[in-house]
Amino acid sequence: MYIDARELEANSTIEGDICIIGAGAAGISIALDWINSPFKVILLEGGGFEYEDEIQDSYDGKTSGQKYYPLKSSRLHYFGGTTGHWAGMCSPFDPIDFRERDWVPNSGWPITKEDLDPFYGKAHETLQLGPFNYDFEYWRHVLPNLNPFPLDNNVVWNKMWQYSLARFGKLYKDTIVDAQNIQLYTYANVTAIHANPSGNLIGEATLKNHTGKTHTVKAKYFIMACGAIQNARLLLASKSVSQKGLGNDNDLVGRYFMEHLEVPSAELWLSKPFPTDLYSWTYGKTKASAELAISEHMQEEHRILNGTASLVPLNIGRLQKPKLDTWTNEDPKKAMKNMMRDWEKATEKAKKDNKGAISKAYQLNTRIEQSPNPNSRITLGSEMDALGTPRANLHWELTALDKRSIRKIYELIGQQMGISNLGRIRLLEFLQDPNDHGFPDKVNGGWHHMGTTRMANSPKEGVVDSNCKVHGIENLYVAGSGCFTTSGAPNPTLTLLALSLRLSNHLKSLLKKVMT
Amino acid sequence: MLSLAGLATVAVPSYCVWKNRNDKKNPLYEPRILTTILEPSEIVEMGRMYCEQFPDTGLEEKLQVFLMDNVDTENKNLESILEQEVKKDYQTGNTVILDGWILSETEAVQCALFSFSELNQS
Repeated sequence: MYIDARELEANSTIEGDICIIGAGAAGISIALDWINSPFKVILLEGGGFEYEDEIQDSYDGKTSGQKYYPLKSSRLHYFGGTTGHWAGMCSPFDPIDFRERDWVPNSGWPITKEDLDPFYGKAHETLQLGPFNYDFEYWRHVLPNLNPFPLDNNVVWNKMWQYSLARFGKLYKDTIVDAQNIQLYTYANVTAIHANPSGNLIGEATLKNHTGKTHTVKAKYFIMACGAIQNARLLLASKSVSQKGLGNDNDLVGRYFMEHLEVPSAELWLSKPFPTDLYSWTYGKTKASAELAISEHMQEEHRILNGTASLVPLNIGRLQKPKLDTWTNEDPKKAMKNMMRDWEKATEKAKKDNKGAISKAYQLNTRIEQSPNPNSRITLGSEMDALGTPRANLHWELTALDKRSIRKIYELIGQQMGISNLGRIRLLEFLQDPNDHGFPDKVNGGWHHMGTTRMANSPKEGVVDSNCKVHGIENLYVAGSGCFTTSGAPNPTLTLLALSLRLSNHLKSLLKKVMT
Repeated sequence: MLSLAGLATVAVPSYCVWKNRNDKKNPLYEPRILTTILEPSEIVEMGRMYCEQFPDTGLEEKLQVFLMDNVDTENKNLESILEQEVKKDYQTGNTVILDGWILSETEAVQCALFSFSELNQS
């Protein structure tokens, strides 16, 4: 069932068993998981089914620290969320990503990779991916010409990726709207969540929209699924019990904001052509491909973060501007168009310069986790959006470990290329001085927001527990990459879906107990 | 301390010995993989940078022994020996970074020798 909240009578009250706040990848995945259950599920979306600038405006906010994209255009605010324009890159986190690593401050999830594996499989179905199998040898037999570089897998291995074409808005609209037990409300922005006086139980949430109407939603359980920045913003802005906000007794909400650093870092010059399709990717065509990854053993030995390197023909890569220089528009559609235009121009121009040694050369682009850093954070600004909620500000801060890890990754790949005699590696200028721990402005993020409501067993170390429940509040959960304790190297969507489906499964068990 | 001049005192006589006996270029003076990637002028520059960035008294001696041992070696074998030396350097982490390039130390010495062979030719 679908209801436009602008059409409801003012001050209406909506009631259900589960209230999911946000209809992006996490929220829709959870809602799909409850179809045909005996429970009434309320799914709230702040926007409609298409992009509207008035709605998108609530994502605007200021940034400081390391240069970042305009916040307004870094997510999409309508049914389907950012899957409306995502690239669909999927790969699971590695077992080491969940472990406590003594060289990575604040690392260590309260769950393991094995805890997530069943839900990774389920997330694959939602994302319409192939089998939940990321073993290189499997794919080598399934797809032609996946010829690997002959490197020592104990040092550098082939981390496989699969590619989803799922745009949740279009793909799941009818299924959600037609579901008997799901009530989808559009133009239903949650502006505050209200707890009881003792602060341990959520009673209701306030909904607003641009018509000036206010409504109330009541449910047994609330799941926040608005994205890592907006979830933190909503918790901080919900001050019915404490001026610190909800779930923020230990001043952790909004802290540990993490991104994936995506930055051209080195060049690989091959001595002769190496025909393979393993390391290339074309949107809509490639089913699986690989990036060069560093083994867990090497990460431990060199005390570095987990990261990978992807390959782009050097004559193209050199002509591409940093994404931070092309994704500058506040309008996400215009920002995307500008970035794509730059890529097309670079590809076209590169065709004229593809002779000699450069025709066998690649740009190596890093994709690496960010070390969890409490100073990298979301806070509330003094400015309000049109619905009266303080805007979110981002202070993005990187560390020396982030820089050293990137450099070491290419030293290791460089050694392997030397041993195999395939070619040689050249570090780009910003990595050449080992004593320089700073980052230039051209260091891109992947538009991946993580860590602002991090998971930990202790409320002194994290906002949510191992089931994604907010510490100290019985019926408030957070879904999405905000719960990541560390950010891993891969793009977050597959893992955030798996985590959301695990949370969904946990809630089902709870409600089943209540019923029996 | 190894310097361009110091290296020249070691490298040039050996180079001349080779040149008098052979028509082909001595593999010692030619970092093979790098010649497929870089322009000669870039390798010359790398050789210069190596001497500047990594002055080391022991290196001159090592280089001399290496040249003495290999200067009379047949070209084919010498290439193979050098390839093994380069591989061993990468395996043991005996690498240097010159202008961002991650090179084995043997390759870096070859770059320096390449510089002299180029200068000697011009």
